[in-house]
Amino acid sequence: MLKKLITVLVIASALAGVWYLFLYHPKSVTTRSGAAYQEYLLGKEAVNKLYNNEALTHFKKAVSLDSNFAMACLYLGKLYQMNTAQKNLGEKYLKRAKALAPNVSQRERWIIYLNLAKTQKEQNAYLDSLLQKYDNTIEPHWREAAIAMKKRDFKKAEQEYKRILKINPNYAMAYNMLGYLASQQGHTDEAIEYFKKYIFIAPDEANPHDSLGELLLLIGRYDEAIKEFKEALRIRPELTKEPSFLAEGVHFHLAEAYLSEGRFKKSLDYLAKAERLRSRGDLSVQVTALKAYIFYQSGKYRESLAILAQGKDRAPDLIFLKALNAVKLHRLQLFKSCIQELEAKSYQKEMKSKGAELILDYLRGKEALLDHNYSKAIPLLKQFQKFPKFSLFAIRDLAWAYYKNNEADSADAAIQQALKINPNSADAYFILAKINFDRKRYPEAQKAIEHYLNVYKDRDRETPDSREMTELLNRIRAKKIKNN
Amino acid sequence: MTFQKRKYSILAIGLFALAIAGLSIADMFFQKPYDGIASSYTKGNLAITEITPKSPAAQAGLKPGDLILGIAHQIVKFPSDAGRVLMKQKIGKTISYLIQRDKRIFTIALKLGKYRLVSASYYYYAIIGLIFFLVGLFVFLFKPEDPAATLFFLMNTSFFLFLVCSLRPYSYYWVDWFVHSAGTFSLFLLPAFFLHFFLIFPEPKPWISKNPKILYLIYSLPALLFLPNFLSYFIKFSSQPFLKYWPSWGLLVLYFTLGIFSFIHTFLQAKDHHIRRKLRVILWGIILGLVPFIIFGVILGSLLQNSQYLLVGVIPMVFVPLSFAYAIIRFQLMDIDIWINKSVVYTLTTFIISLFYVILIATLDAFTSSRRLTNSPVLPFVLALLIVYFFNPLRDRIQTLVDRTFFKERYDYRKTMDEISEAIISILRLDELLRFLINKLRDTLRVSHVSISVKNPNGSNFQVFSEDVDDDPGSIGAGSALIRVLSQQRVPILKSNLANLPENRKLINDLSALNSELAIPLLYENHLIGSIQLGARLENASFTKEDIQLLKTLANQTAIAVENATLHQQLTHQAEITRDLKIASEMQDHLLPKTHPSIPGVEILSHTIPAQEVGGDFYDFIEMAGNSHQMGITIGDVSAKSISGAIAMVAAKEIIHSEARDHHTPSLVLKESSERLYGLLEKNMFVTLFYGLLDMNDFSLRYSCAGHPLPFILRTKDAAAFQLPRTDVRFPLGPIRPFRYDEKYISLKDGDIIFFYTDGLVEAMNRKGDFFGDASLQKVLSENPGGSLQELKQNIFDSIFAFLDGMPQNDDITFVLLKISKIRKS
Repeated sequence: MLKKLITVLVIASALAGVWYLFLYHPKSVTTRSGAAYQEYLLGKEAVNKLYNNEALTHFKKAVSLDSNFAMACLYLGKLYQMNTAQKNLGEKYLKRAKALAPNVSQRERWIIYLNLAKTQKEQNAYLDSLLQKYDNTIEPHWREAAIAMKKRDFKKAEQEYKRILKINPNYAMAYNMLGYLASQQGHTDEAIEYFKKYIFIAPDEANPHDSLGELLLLIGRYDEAIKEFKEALRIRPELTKEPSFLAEGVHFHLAEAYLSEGRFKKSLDYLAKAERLRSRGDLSVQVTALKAYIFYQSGKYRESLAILAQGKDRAPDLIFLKALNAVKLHRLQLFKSCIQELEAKSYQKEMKSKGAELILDYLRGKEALLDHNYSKAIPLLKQFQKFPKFSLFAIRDLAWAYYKNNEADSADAAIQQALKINPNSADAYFILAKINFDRKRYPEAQKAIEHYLNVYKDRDRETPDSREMTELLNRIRAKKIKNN
Repeated sequence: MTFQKRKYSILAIGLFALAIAGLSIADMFFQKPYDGIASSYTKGNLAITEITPKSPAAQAGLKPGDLILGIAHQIVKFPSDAGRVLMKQKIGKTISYLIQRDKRIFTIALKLGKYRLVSASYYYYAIIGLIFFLVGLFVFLFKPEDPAATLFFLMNTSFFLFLVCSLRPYSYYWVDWFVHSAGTFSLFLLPAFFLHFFLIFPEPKPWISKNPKILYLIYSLPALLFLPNFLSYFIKFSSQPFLKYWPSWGLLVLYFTLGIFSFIHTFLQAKDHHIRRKLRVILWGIILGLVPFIIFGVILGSLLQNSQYLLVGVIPMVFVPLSFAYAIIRFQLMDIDIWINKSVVYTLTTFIISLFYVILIATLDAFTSSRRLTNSPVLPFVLALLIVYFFNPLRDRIQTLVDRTFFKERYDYRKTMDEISEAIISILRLDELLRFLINKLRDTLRVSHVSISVKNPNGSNFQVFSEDVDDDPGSIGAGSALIRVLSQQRVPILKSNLANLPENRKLINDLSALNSELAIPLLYENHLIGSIQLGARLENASFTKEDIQLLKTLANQTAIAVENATLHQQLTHQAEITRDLKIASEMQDHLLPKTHPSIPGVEILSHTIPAQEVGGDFYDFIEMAGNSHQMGITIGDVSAKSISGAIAMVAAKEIIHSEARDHHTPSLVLKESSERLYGLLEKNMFVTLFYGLLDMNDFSLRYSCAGHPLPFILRTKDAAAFQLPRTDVRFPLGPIRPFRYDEKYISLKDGDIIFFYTDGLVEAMNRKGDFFGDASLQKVLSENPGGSLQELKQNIFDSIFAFLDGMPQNDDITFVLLKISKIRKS
């Protein structure tokens, strides 16, 4: 009898093992509806693809199929919360998720509490628990990375994203984040690899192309960048019609790309589209800023100020542009008031989270430059060199400060560094041409001007900068003729 | 678990293994999506090492040195990742590859081709594996009850799985997991099976029998190594093949080495030449087969991660199953007796040679096709000559080689049995025949003991002759269970086939008493005349059907030979008896007086009719020296009728003759004769004697008698016959020493006839069993008062033979007639 019992147990265990290993596909969340679970999975997929509208549809369906589906309620609430108009609805679903938390698995419960935690301490506690017990799942690591990113602890963030890839080598969003981190640190090739992998894993998603486009934009490969952005729109035509964060973002980036080539009209067109497709207003400041900047670049400083005045947001970016316009208009008072505004206490918190202290430093540097206090200006302007994107923006003033401070070599080095990041940086060629001209190094100046004009070969209007470059070129050519 | 259940369980395991191996082999043959890329994991990336020319990868423009970052929208890092992704695709589908070349990253579209994983080396592994499996299965089916056979089957099945399942390349199909797991599982069990097998083959080591728990240790070590590795594979879902787990390989090397050493020890301990011969084959097989595998496959391949010589290590493994197969066919290893049909082998040989010739002719034809030689009539003629002259001799040579290689033992065995058959029919002496048979059977059949029983002529028992034929044979009663069963059933009895039932107990006991495992009846004209008993075969072999059939044939011939020898023995004995009797007869003939003494007044007539060739009766007339009127008359009868009886007769006659001359009184003559004959005669031999001294002076007869019938006196004047008065002492001469004999005296009258006779006359028996008797004799004598002695003699003859009425006389008949005629003194 005992032998039979043991035999039965052994056979049963073997069968159970086979079932568990090959046939059992456990749900990662608690729901009694298989259909709801499928909708939940589709919703999560859409979230990863940044198709939030689609994600919203799926989570709504999931909840309608199973009203006690806690995780679906959580994600639905979070999505609603992204939209200012639907914040209350979001609250409702988040509360529901919290109420259902005791009925779900421990892992789910902790994820819910983590997302709903009000204090950092509480968040950390749940996060630590998740990491300890569910180290082999993606969520806790994703949160860790997000926190690290917020704290600007990019090394830690990179570690966490890489850990996610160890768990799932095909987790697409991790490549996206790693790409951004790499590009932030100036590791362009690495960033390109990450984004290309992202594109490869998610060939039917728009965001990978947008991400790659951003990188290409940064390094001056404007045509390729435009191609990528357009590919994103091709893959997801909804982006041209339905407001969403991604739709706004892609159009915004296209505007940036066209601006970089001096194609202001197209840039403004795409900015208008971005405004139209705005969903939650994440990029509203950037759109306004870019619009103002287009006018600034065009030499229409008053119009630029008017656009900035329309923006109700007191974002540092807008104040910054206001300051730049003020400089061009020789309205030093306005310029100084922008600095004061940024220095105001109310900005302390905002400055830290959005990195606006850099902008303040830049403006102070600019002020020093205007005061011909080059030695003071240089360290302030140098801060931007830590961030490739910003370093390109500040290169003109920094290189000029070096040159005027009799540090011509440093000026050259800074320009070369900028060109290393973006070989098609118009600003770099502009200041290079000016410095070389001033140094009477006319061939170098001419070369730089020609590069500048090449970058803007498709420009649809002349700007003060382009006119200046053209004039310098004519003067160089005239000098040449005279010498000959 | 009952025997049948156990057998079927083991078979089920084997069939399951065969199914998995079949799955693995089939998977190798299925077409799979193919890109033409060979890659390896190098410095954190999957690098292309080789592109097959004209493959999809070559057509797509991929190059060696390119790094594969992703396939079909999945990031890949290891070759196994790439394999898994590929196997999910369909043949002919175009998929994208993310490639990094120098610093450039780009996507390439590649249309997948198809190919089969199977390679020449895998064919070889599969064939060797199948050989292992089939040999093991064959042994197990033949001897399912033998633990060694079971282990051998399991060991070979493990080898099979290892070769077919572990040495196959990854196909990255779902089959892989099953098949590689089975292969690895078998790899963990294989060393334990191997070591266990060689610890009990051909005989269990004594310390294993005493400590069977050691086997638990042998099996538990691999299990302890296997289980965590197996579980970790599942828990971590590692893509690394867990064959590269050195402790398991180390254990395999250790177990294999121990097993080989154990077998070497067994081989060295074997004393018997035949056992050593068969073990030698196995030893060479496992050394040649496994040592290269251990070196090239395990040490180099797995432990030192250099697998380029793996094939070199695996190729010789075929020697292992082939050596076992050869030992089974050639030497009946594990007591498996298979008779490969010679005609099949010969047919195969003929076919191969024919094929060779066909190829030769085809080659020649191809060679000469473009030459003028093709049209020449000489070519076919030459080819025909080649066939005629070389085909048959070549075939014969090869068949002889086949015979010598595979059938030599059996050929010798049959040849020896034929020799025995031929020899025994020419041996006529029974003892020589038995000795020859016993020795030959013992040596040929390699049994511990041989005995032959032969029926006694009297039929009451069977004499049992064993190795030393000259020793006194034992015996077994005709009513014993063995003899009874052999007589009734007339078939060989194999002790091991007898069920342990009460009715078989006596039979089993009889066989055990004779140290026999097998008893073969010797039948002559359907009657049991003996049997051959064979003890247990050496090396624990058993008697096969063929052995028994051969022995039955031999027994038939032996029966004839035994019967011939017995008859020959009897004839020889008879001839000796006849010769002895002839000699005795001649001797007796010389002893009886040829003439009668001439004594005045005495007429003598004597006659003797011996019953056999040699009789025991004698008579004599003794003339007294210096006394012509006295005559001694003796008539006697010796109890033996052979040459020894004849010699005794001579001795008695001469002794009495000499005593009669020395002493004048009959009593003294008898006494002295008795003294002298005592101790001279053979045991149980005696002489009856009547001695009378006739004195013609006073016409008297003085006489003494030693157990002999007293003569009759026929008084012709009175026509009356009466027997002489009896003496007091009548002991026959020889057996005892009487202290005296007495004598009597009777006066004789003119015309008296004294009738001396021996007891054969009066003891003649007719058909009714009646004796002639003294009364009849007296009557015959009385009815013949007158007449001559000749007439009286004839009357007596007529009476006797009329009485006998054709019955043969059972004793000698001798009589002496003495007629007294008084002669006046002048």
